[in-house]
Amino acid sequence: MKKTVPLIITFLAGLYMIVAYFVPHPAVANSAQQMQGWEIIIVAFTLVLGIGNLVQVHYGKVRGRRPGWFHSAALLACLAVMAAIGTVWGVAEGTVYYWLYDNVMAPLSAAMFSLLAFFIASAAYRAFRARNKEATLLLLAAVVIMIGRVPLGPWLWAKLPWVGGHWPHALDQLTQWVMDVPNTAGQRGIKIGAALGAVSMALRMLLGIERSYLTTGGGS
Amino acid sequence: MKGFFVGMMRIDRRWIFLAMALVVAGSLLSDIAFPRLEISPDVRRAYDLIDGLPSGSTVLFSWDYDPGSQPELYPLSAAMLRHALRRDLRIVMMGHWVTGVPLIEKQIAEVVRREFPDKRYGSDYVNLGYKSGQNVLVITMAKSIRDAFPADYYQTPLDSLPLMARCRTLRDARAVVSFSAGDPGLIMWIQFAWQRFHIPVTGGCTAVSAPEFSAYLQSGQLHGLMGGMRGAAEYETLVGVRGSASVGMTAQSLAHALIVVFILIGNVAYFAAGRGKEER
Amino acid sequence: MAVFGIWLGALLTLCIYSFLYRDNPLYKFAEHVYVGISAGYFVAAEVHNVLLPNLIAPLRSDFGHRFYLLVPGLLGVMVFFAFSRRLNWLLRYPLSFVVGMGAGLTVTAMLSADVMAQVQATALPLNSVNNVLLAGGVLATLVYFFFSAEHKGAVGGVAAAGVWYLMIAFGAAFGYTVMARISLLIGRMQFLLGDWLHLLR
Repeated sequence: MKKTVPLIITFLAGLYMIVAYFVPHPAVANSAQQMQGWEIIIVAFTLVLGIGNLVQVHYGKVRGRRPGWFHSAALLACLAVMAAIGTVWGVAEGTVYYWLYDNVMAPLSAAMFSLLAFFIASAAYRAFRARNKEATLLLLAAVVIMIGRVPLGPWLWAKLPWVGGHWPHALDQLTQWVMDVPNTAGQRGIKIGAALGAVSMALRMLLGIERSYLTTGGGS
Repeated sequence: MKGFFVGMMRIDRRWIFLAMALVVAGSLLSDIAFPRLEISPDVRRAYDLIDGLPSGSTVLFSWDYDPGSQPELYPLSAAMLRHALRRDLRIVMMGHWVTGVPLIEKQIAEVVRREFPDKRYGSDYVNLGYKSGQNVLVITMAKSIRDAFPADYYQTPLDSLPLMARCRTLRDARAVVSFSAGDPGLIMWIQFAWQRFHIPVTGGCTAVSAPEFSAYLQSGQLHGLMGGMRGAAEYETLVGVRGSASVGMTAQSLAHALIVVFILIGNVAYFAAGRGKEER
Repeated sequence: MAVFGIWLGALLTLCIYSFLYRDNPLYKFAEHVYVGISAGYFVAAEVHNVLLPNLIAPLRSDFGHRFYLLVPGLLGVMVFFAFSRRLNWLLRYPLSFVVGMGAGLTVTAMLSADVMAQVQATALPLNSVNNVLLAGGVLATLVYFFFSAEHKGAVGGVAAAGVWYLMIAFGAAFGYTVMARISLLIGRMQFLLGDWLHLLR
């Protein structure tokens, strides 16, 4: 009941999706469509579940007055206010919810991600070394892309004596070639390998060999 | 001398942060501008796909990003929206990223209502909003958009929107355009909309993910691509708009140059300090 | 209200940037506000975009024909048993449904789009240097990932070539990552210098 039924559900749901891919009969297509509609709803609930875990962790921090508890209190207050305002008064343009999204959530999100520009500059200075042949190749490819993909590169190239005059588009062409040939080959190798890995993992799940997702919820 | 290079390697990283901030801010404030961008074949292909659609055709635009990637993808979605509306295409808008849906409304306000006031909601464009489900959502839409979206973002039943009476399934769209910051996004549209239902897929992605799409471009599964802010700037050039991506290209250029200089200094210091020899 | 919004956004951005100097309470506060607001956003967005139109509205308007929606509704509610010590195993039912469907779709989609189509696109006529380099590069990269044969002799040579291709691909990825991060900083600077301080033309 606790493990066998979920394993059967996984197997049947997965198998049905594979069957629906190959069998275009309306009966199969309609029932698969029905299941897909269910999935959209269930996934929405699971996303809300993640929020529940967040509340649990931070509520514990506030209750125990652990270090930084007031930050956790601010987090819980923001969560409650945003969820309540949006749920009760709506989410469309012109609502308070939209205003908070536009003026609090969006700037914070953008600022948080933009911090990475500083850290990647620091990493380039401290860690990007031509230690061996492979690292040198990586470094050269990165420099070609960094210079070739911005207007400064081709502009500088065209100003170079002799080469700039004879082959004014050479840097553009080299950058495109790096992307189209060696990069495509490398990326494709990675893609095929990763896809085969994902397919084998999916099959292991369907056949009940891989069960780690069932450890959620504990018990046996 | 060796001591100097060892010192260089141990420089407080906050100086590096400061240099980066100054270069970006300085180039935005300055009047420096580099010559026109060369249009890459991948961007041209995406532009040609939209440009070649007969007027009145329906295209699906999917906002698959959130504010974290706004500087790269927002100017692109604005430029493509302008292009599609000028070509008199009908646009069905949606998003797979729950945190990005308000950006659709923002774009409707800033581009559609401001620059195309004659375009009518419901007949020229519709905002379906967001649904969970990702790949399942795409498959559901391929059979019936109504099953996935019983109503639009403003809770209007789809039957009362003339555009949706003509666009009943994903297959009624002549192309899918995804502005993608990761998963779910372009890859998922390729795997399902193109691979399964043969609907041409194009769009833009954040620069981080651009290299992995070259495999899909070469195989013909992806009909053109705009990678990052540079791709957006190229599309802006094609539609004749100098938007935030084009304006940002000078700062982008000089910041890249700064990083290359950092890499050079870092390596010179590293080898001059004798580290390279020690490791070998 | 619009001006207040821009000031608020700018001050919160500066709170985040204060981390560049050192970790501090202002950054911590902004970080927690971000997580809290985002989580609250999620709840209301899922309710308005999915649960209301796809579950509650159809059940209320046409229960007779749509009663079967009680099944996903029930499976969805079962998710919350995760917080019960005694009944948390019930979470496995909705989870197994979602995992099963995801796995079933992955098998066909990935085999078709990422294996078959990619292999097909690699089978190029070997009539140009680029085609030879591309097809050979894919093969070499795959050989590098093939660990069932020891990377010695001819296999080792091909695998080494695969590493070179991978290094170029990683280099390109690094270059593009730099581009992405800088773009995000440019976006924020455009906001701070333009929308907030009105210094940009």
